[in-house]
Amino acid sequence: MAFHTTRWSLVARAGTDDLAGRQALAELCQAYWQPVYWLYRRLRVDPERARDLTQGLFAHLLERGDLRRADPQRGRFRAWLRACARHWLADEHERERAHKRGGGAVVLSLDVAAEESRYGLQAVDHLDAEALFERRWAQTVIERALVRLEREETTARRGALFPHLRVVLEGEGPRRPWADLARELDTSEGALKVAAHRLRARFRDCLVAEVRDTLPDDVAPGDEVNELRRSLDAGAETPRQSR
Amino acid sequence: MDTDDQRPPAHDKLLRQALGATEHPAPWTAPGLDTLAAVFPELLVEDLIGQGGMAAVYRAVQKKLERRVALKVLRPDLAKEPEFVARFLREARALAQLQHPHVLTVYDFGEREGLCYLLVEYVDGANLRELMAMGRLSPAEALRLVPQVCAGLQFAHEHGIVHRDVKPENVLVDRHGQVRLADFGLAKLAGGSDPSLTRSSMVFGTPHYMAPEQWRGSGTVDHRADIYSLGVLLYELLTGRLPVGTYEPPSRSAGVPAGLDRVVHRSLEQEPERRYQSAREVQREVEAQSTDAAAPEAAGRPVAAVADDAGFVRRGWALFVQAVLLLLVSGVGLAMFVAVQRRRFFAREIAEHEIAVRERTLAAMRQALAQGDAWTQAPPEAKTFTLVEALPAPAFAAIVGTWVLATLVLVALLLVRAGRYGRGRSRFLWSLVAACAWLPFLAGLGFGLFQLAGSGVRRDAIANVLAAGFTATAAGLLFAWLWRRSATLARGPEPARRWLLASSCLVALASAVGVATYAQAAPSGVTTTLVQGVLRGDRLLGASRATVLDSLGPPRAISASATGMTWTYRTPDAAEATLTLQGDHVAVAESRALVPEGRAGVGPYLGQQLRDVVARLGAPVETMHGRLVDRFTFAGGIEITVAHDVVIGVERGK
Repeated sequence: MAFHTTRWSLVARAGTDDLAGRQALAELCQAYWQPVYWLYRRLRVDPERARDLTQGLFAHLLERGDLRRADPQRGRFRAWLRACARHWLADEHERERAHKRGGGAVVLSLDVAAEESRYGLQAVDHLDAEALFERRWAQTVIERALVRLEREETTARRGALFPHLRVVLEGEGPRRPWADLARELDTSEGALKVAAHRLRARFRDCLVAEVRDTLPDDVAPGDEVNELRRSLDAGAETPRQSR
Repeated sequence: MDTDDQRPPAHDKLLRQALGATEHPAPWTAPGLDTLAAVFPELLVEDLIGQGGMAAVYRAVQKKLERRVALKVLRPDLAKEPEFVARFLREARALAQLQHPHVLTVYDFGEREGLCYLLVEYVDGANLRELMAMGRLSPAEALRLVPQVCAGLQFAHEHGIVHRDVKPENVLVDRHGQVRLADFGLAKLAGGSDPSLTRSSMVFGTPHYMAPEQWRGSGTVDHRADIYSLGVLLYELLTGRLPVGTYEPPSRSAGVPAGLDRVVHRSLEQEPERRYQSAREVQREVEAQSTDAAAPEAAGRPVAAVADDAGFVRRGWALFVQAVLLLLVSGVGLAMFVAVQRRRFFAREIAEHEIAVRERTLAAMRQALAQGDAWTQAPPEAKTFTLVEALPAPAFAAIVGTWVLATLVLVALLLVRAGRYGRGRSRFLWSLVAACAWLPFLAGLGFGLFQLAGSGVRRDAIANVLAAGFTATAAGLLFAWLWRRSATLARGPEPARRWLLASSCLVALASAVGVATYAQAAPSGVTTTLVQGVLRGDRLLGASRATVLDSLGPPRAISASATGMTWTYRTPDAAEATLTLQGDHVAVAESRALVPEGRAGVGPYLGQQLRDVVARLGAPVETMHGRLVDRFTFAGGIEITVAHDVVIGVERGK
């Protein structure tokens, strides 16, 4: 988790011909397929179709390594992926005529059913496709940060505490009084509070680490974090005009 | 993540929590002026002029030297750690060694009663952020400032001090266009003391000026980090934007010489080794570019003037807000005050009039009876008595009062505009003028108290004291508060100031509307009363008092006859009009301008009632009370209201 070369800058530097670069890109794609799925879902409505488009895009990116249209040297992974997704859609009809790509190419495991069940209701109607993409992106980053945090906690043998303390990350107290919880977990109330405080700080770090992974080396994560927040806020607001 | 929980997590809460803890370092309150006065007896601490996450800056005067200084006080909780204090003193000592025209001079430093402080040179001007916010810093001017920044940095670097926080807020420009670099090394101080606080603010705050090695937290940070920040500063000064991501070369976006692109690029290199290795190199390059291109137009407007303007704007805004608020309070206060005063004065006058009317009516009636012609004739023409109450219209007083007050405040603002605000005598004058505006209220307060003491507890006197006292106190407190806060108010960022301006305008507008509404609602002009009565024996059986309220202003003439009353007006188009109230009806006679448009009311009914009473004289009739209102509307928005208060009492038999 040290701040060395970020995943995205590895892709940018090595290119997709390189094995390490390819590997990094695959990881990133697997991490952020949901926003793309919802982008297509919003534009094409049908979940099947959206899934195929998503799968096709990633197959294209990972197998052919065709990065001509969007140059990974420039900017952030989020913007790059969004541009690629847009281009892929624009070429849709052309591709169908050529019918060369095997429609069934599966490069990533996309659990569309779970995604639909968790976010189907949330697919905010008033957001346009791009805003939905941004919103889901922000959510994905946060989810990944949570996963990362949990993994770290487990590795550090504090995994047992995590499910109980998770609520503090949302700014709430635990569901039961601290004292009760401390007794159950066989620790002191003070220690528990310290652990909660530490967990919050760690979560922040995880969030930054996740964000940084999608940025070039030399870009500070502040702007990106602010944008994430904006796109989350946009989803919570009243309907806005589509572009 | 929770496997049993299929609901998505509360993303926004998570994000807000994660950021919330970082974006705003724990809020703290800067020590009050009283506290500081106790801690620093040798200083006259005047005003809080700025407050950040780490320190507060006050304007002060060293009493002995009569020298203006800036007192920077670090947040007190930092000073609780002895380690921090030691480090602070070490840094400050090194800083105090720096004597350079472009480095803010440290006069004194230390730790007193839990407060770490620096006493530094006071710069009368503005910082680069403020100058940029005004949008008045041309590339040519920027190119003349940057070399001074470089010189200051170079000097500090030579003495082994790295600034670590070069940004527009820390570059002060005085009235003569001289640059001073402030806050050397304080960032480092913060960095080591409370890692959770500052590291996160480094990540999420405004990291734009930070060199990559600084926010990465890896590798050693040396003077070349300042070179990077300098590059960001230069780019922002030239283009008005920050060099984020793939940035546009300044030559393309700002039309400056292409040579500057190279300077910016090289300053912003990721690896310190590839940047300029000293601030002097940057200075040389920038100077070379500015002599090439910027020389012709640079002669135009000196930066000094801009800095001076910025200083004014800073003070001016605050005073503008202050003035508007004062205006608002004064408007409300005046309205209250006048309302109370009016009741107090005019209630008594009206009561006196009523007594006079009754007595005169009776006297006249008796006289008529003595003449023996009173009730035998039909229809009985009542004797007519006229009273003219010329009461000063309260709305008029309110408007004049507010206007006078506004003028006083504006005069004070003019004093400020002349640039003399803040110096002893003018400041005193301005306070005096503003204080004078409240004299009427203080006078009212005194008068009310005098009344209370003299004539025992009276309701109107209490109301008077309360109204005047409340107004004077509220206004005084507000004034004192604004007086202290003015500098702080004005130091906000540009959008905040714009917001202040907009809201002040709204408040001013609301205040004006309020006063106007009050003026409209209050009766204006002159109230005239006509009394008619009926007498039997020596008793008053019936009386009618007609009050005419008009909006024409005072009548030019009022004449009364035995049968009626006539008002003569000059109408807005300078024609003359007469209005006659005769018996039971109002007639508009000989009017060229007063064209009746409508009439509402039950005036004629009154006459009928009076006649009925007279006709049934001798028969048992009960006492009747009534108020009958006639309202006449005329072209040009003129409205005349006639109110008839009727009391009729008839005795049984003779």
